[in-house]
Amino acid sequence: MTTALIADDEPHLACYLREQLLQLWPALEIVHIAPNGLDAADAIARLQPDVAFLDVQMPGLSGLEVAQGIEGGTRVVFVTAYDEYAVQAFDEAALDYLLKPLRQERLARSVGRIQAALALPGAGSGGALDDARLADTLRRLLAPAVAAAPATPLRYVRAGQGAVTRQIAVDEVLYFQSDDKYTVVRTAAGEYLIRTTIAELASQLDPGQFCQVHRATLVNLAHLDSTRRDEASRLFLRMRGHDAELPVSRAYVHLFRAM
Amino acid sequence: MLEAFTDFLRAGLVQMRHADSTLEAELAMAQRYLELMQIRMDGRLAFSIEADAQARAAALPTLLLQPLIENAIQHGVEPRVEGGRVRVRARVAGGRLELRVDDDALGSGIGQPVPGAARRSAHQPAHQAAHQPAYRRGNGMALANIRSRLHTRYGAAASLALQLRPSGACAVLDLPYTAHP
Repeated sequence: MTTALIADDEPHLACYLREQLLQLWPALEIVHIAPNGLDAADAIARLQPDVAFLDVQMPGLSGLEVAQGIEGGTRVVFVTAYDEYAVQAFDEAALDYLLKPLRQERLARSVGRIQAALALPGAGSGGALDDARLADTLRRLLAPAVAAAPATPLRYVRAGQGAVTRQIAVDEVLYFQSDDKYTVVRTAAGEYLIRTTIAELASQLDPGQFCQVHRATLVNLAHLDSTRRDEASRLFLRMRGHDAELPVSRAYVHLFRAM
Repeated sequence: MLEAFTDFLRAGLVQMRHADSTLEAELAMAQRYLELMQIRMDGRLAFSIEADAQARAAALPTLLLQPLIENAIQHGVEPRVEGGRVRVRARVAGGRLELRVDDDALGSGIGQPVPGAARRSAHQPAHQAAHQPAYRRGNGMALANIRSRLHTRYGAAASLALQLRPSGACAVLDLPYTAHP
């Protein structure tokens, strides 16, 4: 049985989509309705639905950020009130996109498209090409509106610790990981908190050295030790001199294929 | 919901035909707008409107207050998972009308404590790393527009101030009071 998740901060719209889906696709099981992006990300990780209908503008995390953090095989359909121009980009990054207000004949077409995609062999993995395109589109859509990338990449970050401000060379950083409103800077020696977001760091660091592997994580490739696949074919990274494994979301898995 | 929406549209259309309105009419429109948003946001939005009879009788350019309320929703309450409260207050003092639109949702994010003990452990999966926007963003179009309308109409006698607090914001419109004839 195919399972689906709906995420929308407007409960009336979520209910409406659910009713319409159940009419068009009685065998579909809607396993969760999420009222915000954080809840959606959490439920996708927990329930691993086949399809997630994600509203683009949601509190907590946007639909794009939720898509960027998916680790399993869940495929995405964006639901958005954005205009056609923006929507074309979503189309590239997802199985389908739906424009609000929802129209039944359009939804019917989408259901056909989803069913066809899931019936393909290897459905769920999305294929390397799809994943690369997803990663690329998400990076473009999520890039902060900075005028231009700095000519010289960031070399140090500074983290306040009470009265002391500590300077950390980015070369020593194993990874950056977002933690609520802060970003954790992890080095072999310890961890520090800064306010700069992952997206801001990604645009300031040398892209040849720091690589985004997840919505919440930027790793320093110089310190990458090994990768491991688990039985659900999810990918994890291990950094040199550090015990914890870092999950790689599906959009970035293709970056770590063995040569 | 449809009823609230058509009421809102009708009021908006009537008000747009006149350059001048009263605070009473603007607050009635604000009330309908906030009720609509309450339906959309299902319990994440609370609001109150406080104005006495003297304030309600004030003459006021149309659609001056409305964008401030929309800002409070769009940049404050809506992007916050927990939602929040919008408070609209009007008072007359010393021949001036003061309109305040307050919310307690997203603000500057400055001065919020760095999480210490409640920090996520490195073993917790990354998808659980909540990344709420910590501060509000906007392009300032609505505020610039209101300021230019105030300037055209009142010169230096009126002002609009926006204070961002660590959480929430407050917009204050200050203008000369004239009772609607």
